[in-house]
Amino acid sequence: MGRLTDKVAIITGARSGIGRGIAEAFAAEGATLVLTARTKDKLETAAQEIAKGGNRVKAIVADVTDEKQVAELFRQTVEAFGRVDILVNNAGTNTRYATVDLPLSEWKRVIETNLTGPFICGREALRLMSKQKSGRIINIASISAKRPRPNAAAYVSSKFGLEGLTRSMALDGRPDNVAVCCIYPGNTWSELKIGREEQQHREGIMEAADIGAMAVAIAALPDGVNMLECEMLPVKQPFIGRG
Amino acid sequence: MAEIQRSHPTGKRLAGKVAIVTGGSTGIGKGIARHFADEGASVVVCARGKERLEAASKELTQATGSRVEAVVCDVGVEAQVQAMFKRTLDLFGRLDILVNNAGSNTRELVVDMPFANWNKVINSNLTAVFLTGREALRIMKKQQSGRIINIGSIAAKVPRANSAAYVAAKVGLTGLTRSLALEGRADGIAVSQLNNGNTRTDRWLGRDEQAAKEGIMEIDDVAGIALAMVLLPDGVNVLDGTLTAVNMPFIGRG
Repeated sequence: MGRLTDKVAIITGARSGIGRGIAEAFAAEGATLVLTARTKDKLETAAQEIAKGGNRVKAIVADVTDEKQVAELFRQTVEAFGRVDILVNNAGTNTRYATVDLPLSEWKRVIETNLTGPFICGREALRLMSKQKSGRIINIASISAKRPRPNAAAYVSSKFGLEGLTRSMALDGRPDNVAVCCIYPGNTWSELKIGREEQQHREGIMEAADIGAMAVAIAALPDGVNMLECEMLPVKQPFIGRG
Repeated sequence: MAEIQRSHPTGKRLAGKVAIVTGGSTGIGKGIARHFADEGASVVVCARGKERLEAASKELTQATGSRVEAVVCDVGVEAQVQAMFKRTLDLFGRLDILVNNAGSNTRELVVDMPFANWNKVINSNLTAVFLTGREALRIMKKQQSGRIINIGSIAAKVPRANSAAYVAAKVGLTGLTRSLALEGRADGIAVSQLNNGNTRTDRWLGRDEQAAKEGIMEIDDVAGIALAMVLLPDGVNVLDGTLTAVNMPFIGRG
């Protein structure tokens, strides 16, 4: 009997990286999973591999920035599994420009995926969970929500905003016993990091499984208990001091 | 396919690890000590009162099969802290985890707060963590590994009324946590702070109405998260965690 048996979880951006790590960690605890990404590529493979462990797993293609597609994602999830206990808003993107060079289109793309996406998915989840009188939303932010890196204004702004959205959804979900929280990971191995190996070596890097382990600990808390914030990073990552 | 651990690791994931838990004879400290000992860690529990501490150590040893040793110590007194760490090394030879859980509170408005109460609360919640943290860093720097978890409070984020000393101590603790983390970083030492909301300990006896209104967590909820934090690989740290009842008035304005 896993710690998440009978729980139905939707994970966005689940085909690789942190999303995939959380999906595997949830699967190991017996959860029923809906894995979401924008493209079929690798998503169905991920679902098939995880299903080999005996879990109920469904892959649903959806763009989290598209209201209709998100509504359809939740509709299909409820049709297949009857409820949603956990939403993990993990899908995210980045762009690297100094602010003076940052095109508006790139600003919008990052804000839409990292901030508007969790609003659209979170709204659907809150609608369901308010009726259920239970549920948990886990937003994957970044330590960039606490302190910026250079050349990342859109990303940093979206993640600061995601903290605000987390607090607002937590406040609005509170009367219906919906727990909303934020994990703030530091450097974590994912495709976004390819080509930055030297930096990772210097700063340290976590595995997606590490984020998955804390996500399981949070998801396995009883109804009514919330880990509002979980800031996690490699011990050696420059973040704690001044810079 | 990716490695997925299907079978539950059957306990003992902390075998060979040595932990100190301050304020370990009751409440959150005892709960954390039990969770660690369940996973095979050797644990030193310390507290000021000998009788209750020895009862806890006996109970936890019997319940878990791990060694849980009682060392009487007032963590606000330098010589006693140093003796407690020396005793731990004599018993177990190393120190992997320190949980700074001991603390106290006093409930008065600032205008009514005796200086002695201020000093007592600052000493037991903040100065004590400097004393134990300093000893732990000295040992862990030699080992090039170790983990310190400071039990903070959501008072470290947002104050309650009638608790100025406690709030000041816990906000100060955040500064100390960050400083210890910064100074331990080069040696691979992880230092973190777990900020808890209302938790059902003896301090909540007789306050059922407030607990019902604000929500309250069980000791095992907090201890379970502390365990997840220490099970992370060396080199990975939960720097800051905030754990509350969903209904806790904390997120909004007040």
